[in-house]
Amino acid sequence: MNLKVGTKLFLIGVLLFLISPVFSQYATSGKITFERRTNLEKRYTDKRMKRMINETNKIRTEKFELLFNDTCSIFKAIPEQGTSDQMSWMTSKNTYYQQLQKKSQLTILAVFGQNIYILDSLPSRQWKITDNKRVISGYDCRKAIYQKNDSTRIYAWYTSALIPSVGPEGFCGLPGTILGLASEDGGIIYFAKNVELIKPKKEDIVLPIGKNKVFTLDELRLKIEKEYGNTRWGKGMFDELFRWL
Amino acid sequence: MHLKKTVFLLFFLSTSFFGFSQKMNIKGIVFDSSGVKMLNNVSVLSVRIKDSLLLGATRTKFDGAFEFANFPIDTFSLIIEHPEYEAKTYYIIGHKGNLEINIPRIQLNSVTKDLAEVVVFANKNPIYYRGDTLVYVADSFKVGENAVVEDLLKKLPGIKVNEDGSLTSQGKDISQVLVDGDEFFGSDPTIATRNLGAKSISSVEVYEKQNEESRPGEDEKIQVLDLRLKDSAKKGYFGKLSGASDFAFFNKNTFYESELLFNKFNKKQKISVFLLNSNTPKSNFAFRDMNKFGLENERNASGMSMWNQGSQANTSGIPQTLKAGVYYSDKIGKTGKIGFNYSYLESNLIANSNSSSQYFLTDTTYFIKDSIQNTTENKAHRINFSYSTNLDSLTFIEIKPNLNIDYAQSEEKNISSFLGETNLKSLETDVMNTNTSNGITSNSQALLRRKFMKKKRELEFKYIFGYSNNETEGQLLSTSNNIAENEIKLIDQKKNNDNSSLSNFGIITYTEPLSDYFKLEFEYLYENGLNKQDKKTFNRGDGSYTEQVDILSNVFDNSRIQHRISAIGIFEKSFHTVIGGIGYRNIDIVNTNFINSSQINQNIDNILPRLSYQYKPSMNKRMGIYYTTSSSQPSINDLQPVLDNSNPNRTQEGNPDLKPNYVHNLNGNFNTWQALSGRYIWSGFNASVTNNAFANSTSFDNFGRTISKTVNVDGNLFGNVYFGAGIPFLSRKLEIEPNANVSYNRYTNVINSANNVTQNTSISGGFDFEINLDSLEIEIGNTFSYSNPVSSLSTNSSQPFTTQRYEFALEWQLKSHITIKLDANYTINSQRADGFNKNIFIVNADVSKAFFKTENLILTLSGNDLLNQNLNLSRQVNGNVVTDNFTSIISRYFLLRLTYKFNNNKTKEDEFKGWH
Repeated sequence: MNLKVGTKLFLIGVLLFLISPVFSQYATSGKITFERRTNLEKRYTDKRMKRMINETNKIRTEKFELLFNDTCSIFKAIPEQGTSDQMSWMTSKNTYYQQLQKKSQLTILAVFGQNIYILDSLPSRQWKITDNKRVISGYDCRKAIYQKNDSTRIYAWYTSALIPSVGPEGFCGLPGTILGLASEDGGIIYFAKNVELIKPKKEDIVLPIGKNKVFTLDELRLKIEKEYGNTRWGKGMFDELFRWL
Repeated sequence: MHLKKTVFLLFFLSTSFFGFSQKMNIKGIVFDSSGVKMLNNVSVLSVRIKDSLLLGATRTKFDGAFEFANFPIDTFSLIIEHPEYEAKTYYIIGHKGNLEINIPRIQLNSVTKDLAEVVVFANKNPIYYRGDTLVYVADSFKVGENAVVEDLLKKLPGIKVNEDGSLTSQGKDISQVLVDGDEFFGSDPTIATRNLGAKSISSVEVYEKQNEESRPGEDEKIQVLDLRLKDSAKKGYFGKLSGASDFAFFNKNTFYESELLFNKFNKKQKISVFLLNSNTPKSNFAFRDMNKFGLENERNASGMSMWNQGSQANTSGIPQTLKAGVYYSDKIGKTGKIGFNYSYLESNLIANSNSSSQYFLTDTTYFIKDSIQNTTENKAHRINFSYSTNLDSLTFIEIKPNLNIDYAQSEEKNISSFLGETNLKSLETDVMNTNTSNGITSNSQALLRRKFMKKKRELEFKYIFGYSNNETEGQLLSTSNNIAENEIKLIDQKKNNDNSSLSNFGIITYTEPLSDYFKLEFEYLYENGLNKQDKKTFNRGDGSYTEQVDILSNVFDNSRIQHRISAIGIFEKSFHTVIGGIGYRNIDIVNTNFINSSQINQNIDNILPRLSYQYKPSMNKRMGIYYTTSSSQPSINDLQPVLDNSNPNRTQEGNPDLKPNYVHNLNGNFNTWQALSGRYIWSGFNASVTNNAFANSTSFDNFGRTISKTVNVDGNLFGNVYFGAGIPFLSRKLEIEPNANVSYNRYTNVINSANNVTQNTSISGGFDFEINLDSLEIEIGNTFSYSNPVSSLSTNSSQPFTTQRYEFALEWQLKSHITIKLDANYTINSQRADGFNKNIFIVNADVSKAFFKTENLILTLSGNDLLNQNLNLSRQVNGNVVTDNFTSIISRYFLLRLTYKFNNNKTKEDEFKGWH
């Protein structure tokens, strides 16, 4: 699969090079389809939750798409075909809309079916660059590491061939587009399955806020800390919320 | 990673020195390999040497130029990368005399595909062969701080990591990467090698194994690389030991509770041992402990539901409990799971209860006052075994045999007074029953589930075997004193009762998807059941029980064969689920009475339709409406055709003509929940109509003694509507939870051959308030309920009654590990029989102090029912009978408890606290 796409892209690259040598294969816009694989066995430590998880359903696969150009990007879930299954509540699907020049990000967190709107500046993360490389969907990617806290590290593979600094789950700040993202234990993995070099339509990359209440990240953190911090279960319930933030 | 790196060290000595600026500026121009064309959009990174931190990134402009301005002084590498050319790295050593760095010509080279070099290490690292397995001890190979397994593998002599992440060992391809013998995460080996930290590996093993998927002619053996994780995280134990007593300080009889729970785990093997011994109402482990120690079958054995966390629930009477057992579980092979548990339960209960019943007939009413003393002793062994495995990726099997052995002994003494309308005593009886029973029960099942390459197609076979055999020996001693006629009657009988049942169920289910949204499910059920009852009663004559009483003895068989076929269509699309189906059932029942050689055959056909619709627009909002039909069969005790005189005042008779009932059910619900605000609503309704319902037909004699049997009646109705909500205020520090329930129940029973229709309307509702502060939680609640039963035969039984309940609970965590818990309940009963309008106020309190840094040793003083008011009081309205019941239960007692929790890490042992 990867090889095929790679070969195709290579041919397209060669073709473009032949037609007009001025074009490089650098791209500033496109649509990337991501596959997210969540290992529920690793994700949940609670015994009761584990009881619901078995060999056949422990890996949840979901699809997302990242539409981007040089000024904005939107990352959202692709609605599942057919039936919704019993385990769908075990993972959450968030939406991110980034305006790169304004350096702002609108995040819609889907928390147990409710949407929470967060408008804040683009997340700034400190990345460590490694010499590790791999090919994802035909692109040479370099691995970078983000140390979220003492116990959590997140790996990202980015390509410099796609210029905008965007990625899945609102991850950005690397010199290129992130095509792979994974938690260190392999519990959650995003990989680009397909990269289309198209120009997204204007209407596709607009995210209306509507009349919903909009928080900043600090406001939301404060609200949850204040209102749920003293309950035994409250904090845990929202841990998932800040998994990627 | 085998691209050749071009490295330049730049020590620019700059003559210009800007004293005030301590920032660096770096600029350069990037050219292609020809050195003529300037390259646009080339990525330029600066990465700090000491920790690989990305300091900045930029792209070249159309003229190939890039610039980092106002950069802090540091030592970093400048990486210039382009998809078509080889990356170039410059090491820049920052210095305050070297703030302006200009690299005027950066020429990128074409990618050269070098052959990967063979890296040769001095072989002084521990590597050894174990049989055919090559073992590398991971700690002996030094890797960097952020190293992943791949980095480790690169350092292992003989193992080569290719550019795409694939591996070879001694030149041979490695086909599979395993973690602790299991496939890590799909078949892509790089997911394991590039995601696992090198530090968590204890050893790397390379060996050959049989290829499960090989076809004839293919290489049957494949080479695998097995990453063995360090054991430290997968082995350990934890437990809890607790003992409590009142040291006979307040009561002559000492109250005590003791508890031991211990769990040991080693990789996937788990062993739990438990022991509980008490003479207080605590007859089971706390819910959280059952969860934590995996005692799954103890929950069911005690009849406790998942939500009933009150392991201190009021049992009626004075109990004594001993419970002990062991649980074992392990994984066998890749998917096999094995489980075994054994538990022993011994419980004794002494219960004294008083009841006052009023019987309403068309022309008169009776009062009966009962005083019952009951002593029971139970001993039970429970053995469960389970094994499940995937035979292949599509086939799953499971077997679950079970065996219960029970022994019970009981003694019941019942003194009753019968009073007429004028409150004049007409009859006094004294009934004494002693019974000893031995029983064996097994309920075992086997399951085979087969999936197919076509998604959602599924075939399932299920077989359930049920067997039970129960032998009871009993004695009945009864004296009845007819006061009016001054006549005394005695009964002295011995009873032997053998009950056995054998049933086999076979169920085949097949699911066929017709499209992404629509699937059909077919089911066929076959049941073959046989119940036997052998009942013998002997009168005492000449000192021994030899004289068989024929009207109280029989041999009776009930056999049935059931066939049921059903077809269900399931449509699921986005938010909507519609399920509709129909079932057809035929039951052939043969009731044989061997005493008079009579036989009753019933052949019953039923159509069982169902229909439901569920709308679930999001995870936190759902509504649905469900219509189902069901039919259940009468028990052998309701069928068997002889009298049961174990209570001669309330004789029961079987009815072999009884038909299965038929129930229509309609339910609806609506629930929403908002996670962030914490607001929720739950509401719904239930309605049912039962035809051929099992009802009591009772005949009264002139004292009010009864003979009853079960008959079929039509048109029983039940309906209720419920609603509840939670509304938080003040940043969730206060929450108000209102709830309401209205129900209507209409049912028929038969009294002296006349139908009596009872209509009971009841309304209940309440408010709860919760206050949550950091160290203090308070709950205040009240409920009010009103019931109005109306009976068609007598208007006298139509006495409405009310119950009010007020609750207060507090949990306060003080500094220095002291916790105070208090809960109080006040119940007001009114409009009941005289002597049963009692108001009950129960207060329980706990003070505990935790010791050590880990808080694992806890000393608790708890007082139960401080005001000594506990009573078990209930009112039941059943047809034309209103019964107020009062059972004496344990009231005030105090316990001093010491609890010690421990684990192998000597850390704080947390209680199970829910889902996270």
